[in-house]
Order: sequence, then C-alpha cells, then structure tokens
Amino acid sequence: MRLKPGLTLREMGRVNMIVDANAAQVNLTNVYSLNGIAADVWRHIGEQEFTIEQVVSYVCEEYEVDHDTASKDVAALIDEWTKFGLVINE
Amino acid sequence: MNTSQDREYQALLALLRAGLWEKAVDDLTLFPLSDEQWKRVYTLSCEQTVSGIIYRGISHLPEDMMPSEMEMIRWAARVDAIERRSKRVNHTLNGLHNLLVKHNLHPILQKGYVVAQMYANPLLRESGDIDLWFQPQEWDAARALASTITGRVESMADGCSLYFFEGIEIEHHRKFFDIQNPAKKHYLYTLFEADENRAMYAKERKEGINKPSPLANIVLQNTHILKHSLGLGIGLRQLCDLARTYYTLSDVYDGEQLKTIYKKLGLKRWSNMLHSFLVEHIGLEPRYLPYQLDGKEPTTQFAEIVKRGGNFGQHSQHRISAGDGVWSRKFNTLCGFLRSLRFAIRYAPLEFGYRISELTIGQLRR
Repeated sequence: MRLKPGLTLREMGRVNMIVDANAAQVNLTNVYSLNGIAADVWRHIGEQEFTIEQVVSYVCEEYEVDHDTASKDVAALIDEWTKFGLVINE
Repeated sequence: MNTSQDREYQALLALLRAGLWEKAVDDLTLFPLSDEQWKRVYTLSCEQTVSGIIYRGISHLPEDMMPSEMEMIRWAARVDAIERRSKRVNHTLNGLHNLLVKHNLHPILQKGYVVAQMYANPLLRESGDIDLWFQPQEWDAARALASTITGRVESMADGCSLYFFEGIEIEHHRKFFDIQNPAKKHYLYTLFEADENRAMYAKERKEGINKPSPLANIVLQNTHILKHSLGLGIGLRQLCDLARTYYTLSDVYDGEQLKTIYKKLGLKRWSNMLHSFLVEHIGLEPRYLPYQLDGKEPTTQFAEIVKRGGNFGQHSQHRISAGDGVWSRKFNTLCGFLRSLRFAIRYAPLEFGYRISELTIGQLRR
C-alpha cells in the first residue's frame, strides 16, 4: 500500500493537516487534521510503498511502545486513512 | 476603515513581511486576533492575492498567537489550491510554449512565472494569467494560431489579445513596457534593443522560454505598477513581486544604470516613493534597493490606493458598486482615472495624460 500521491502534509504550529481536493468537483475539498504521531508516521512513509508491519516497527522504535499496542493503533490509523481515501491499496 | 479593520490590515502587513522574507513577525502587539478578525485577515489576503505569503507568515507567529485550528484549516485548503493552480499554470505554459515554438514563434514571457521564481517558494505566489510579448513580425501569426486553437480571441482596449488555453487566461502583448509617452517609449526600446548587454530578454534560455533580462524585468514591473496605480488600483502582490525581484537580482544588474533609466523616463519621484513603500510596508531591506533613497517621499496616498484596491483594483468599493454592463465598466475605468488625478499629477502627469488618451481611443475603436 502507499499514500495517495499529490497530498502534502501542512504544518502550522502544532496543527498538522492534509488537504485532499476532489479533482472532479473543484468546490469539494477535504481537510484532515493529524495529531503529532500520525503526522510523523505520514512523513516517515512519504512516497514509499509500505506494510502495516513496517509502520509498527517504526512506531515501536520511535515511541518506545510495546508491539501489541503499536499494532492496534497503527492498524486503526491506516484503516481510517484508507476509509478516507488517503491510502491506496495496490 | 474603522480601528478594528485597520488593525486587521496592519496584521496582514506584518504577516506579509514575515512570510515574504521568512523571518519573525515584526509587530506582535497586533496579535492575538479573534476568529472574526482572522476571517477578515483571510478575506483581505484573498483580495490582495497574497494568501500563500500570509500562510508562511502565520507559521512565524508564536504558537499561542496563531489562529484556531478551524481557521487554520481554511488557510491550509487555500494554500493547497494555490499550489495546485500554480502547477497547472506552469503545465499550461509549457504546453503553449511548445506549440508556439513548433510554429516558429518565440515570445518573451512577462511577469507571472518569471516573477514567481524570485520567491523562496514560487508555487505559493498566486498565479494569474500568462503574459506573452511578441515581436511585431510575429504578432499576426501568433494571434492567428491562438484563434485556430481556441476559437475565440478577444481584442482589449490596450491593444492586447486575450484568450483561454486549457482554461488559463492568456494575453498576447504588443507593448513590452507599460509606458504610453511616445518619446519615453522610444527611449526605452532603443535602449534595450541597441545594446547586446542590455537585451530585452536574457540570452540564457533556461527551459527554452525567453525571459526578460534583469533590467528589463525590473523596468517592466515598475511601469506596470505605475500603470495600475494610475487606474483602478494595484495590490500588495505586485509590490511583493518587485520587492522580491530587487532582492533576488540585486547582484546582477547595475543600480546606477537603473536610476538613469528611471530619471530619463520621468519616474524619479515615483520610483523614490515606490521604493520608500517597499521598505516601509513590504519590509525590503534598503540595501537591496537599486540605489539609496533620495530623501523622504510620503507613501500615505499610495498606501491608501493599495489598501483600497486589492489585486489590480478588483476589490475596490467603487469597482464593486459599478455593475458589470459595458458602459458601467467604461464609466468605472474613467472614474478610476479621475480618482487618481491628484496622485498622477504629483508622480506621472504626462504618462497619465497619454494613458487617458490611449484608453479613450481604445474604447472608441472597440
């Protein structure tokens, strides 16, 4: 899987946002707010293909969290991003 | 404008300086602002087409003075749209340029993309139309080609051709510089055409598109700002463009030579006032001006024109209330010129006279 191409993470102070403009309907723009860890994960993934397990390893390393908790949280995060169309399953 | 609105405009200017030069906000006494005040700053930034710069400016505020998350979302969406539009315009420009070259046409690109390259982040400069200047011998062929590919080319009162290509407004210009006075016009063209070193366009043709030489680019922008200041109005974006150009090109042109050109064009006082404005309001460091300021020229009247007008006067109260009919528009343009009379008499009386005659003739011909 990979992040939807063309999306930029925008940071203003503590607020991190992803803007997803609907190309078919120019007036429809979705803005997603990301917390600090989610934004960090987004930055880490970048344009690369990734697996959930890779993201879990990264989170475990960076945030000193146990594998089970990280697995649960990452799965929920990627599931949410997939639902909103921010992640593409290839 | 009441005190609250004035504070919002001052906040806009403080954020503009921070965003344009990527530095801390210089007047924190204006912040924090309420959501309502941030909304007004947002509207002003859209009217002045400087939202991308203001967005960068906000990021230089201390966190406790930043807008609320809801307000930030508005900015993020706007900035994203600006970037997408810039990419689209750049793409269209490349496509159109390839097409023109294929037909042996070699325009010089004016303003827009050329000026955007002067910014730290070119994509955040709001793109308008694409302006192309053609040599007289290419003019008819360029217009005919535009007509063939788009089906409709409009002739404007100032002599340029306007059409849409891939949804982007394109203008073909006959005149390189916005100078009407025939003697001054002759001086400029002779100057730039006669000397290889001062060629109208840069000899290095990066990306295949002809761009104005540094000196020509600066004179073009200065006279363009003057033209709109004498008419319906000018906005902050065009002033940011010139400030960034002075800054970026400071080492590659001769400031004394530019001073002579301004003097011979009769624009010495005007340029002195314009330079004062760039320093006082836009935050350009005086050392990046082409030459030292010659005394103190008050900028109050010009600052009012900029504040009132927005992007090329499109948001002036006078313009909004004038309606969209043909005669309303003509009347509106005339009123714009009459409002500028006192200003014009001080800074460019002859140019003003020639401009009114040109527009009157242009309107009668259409």
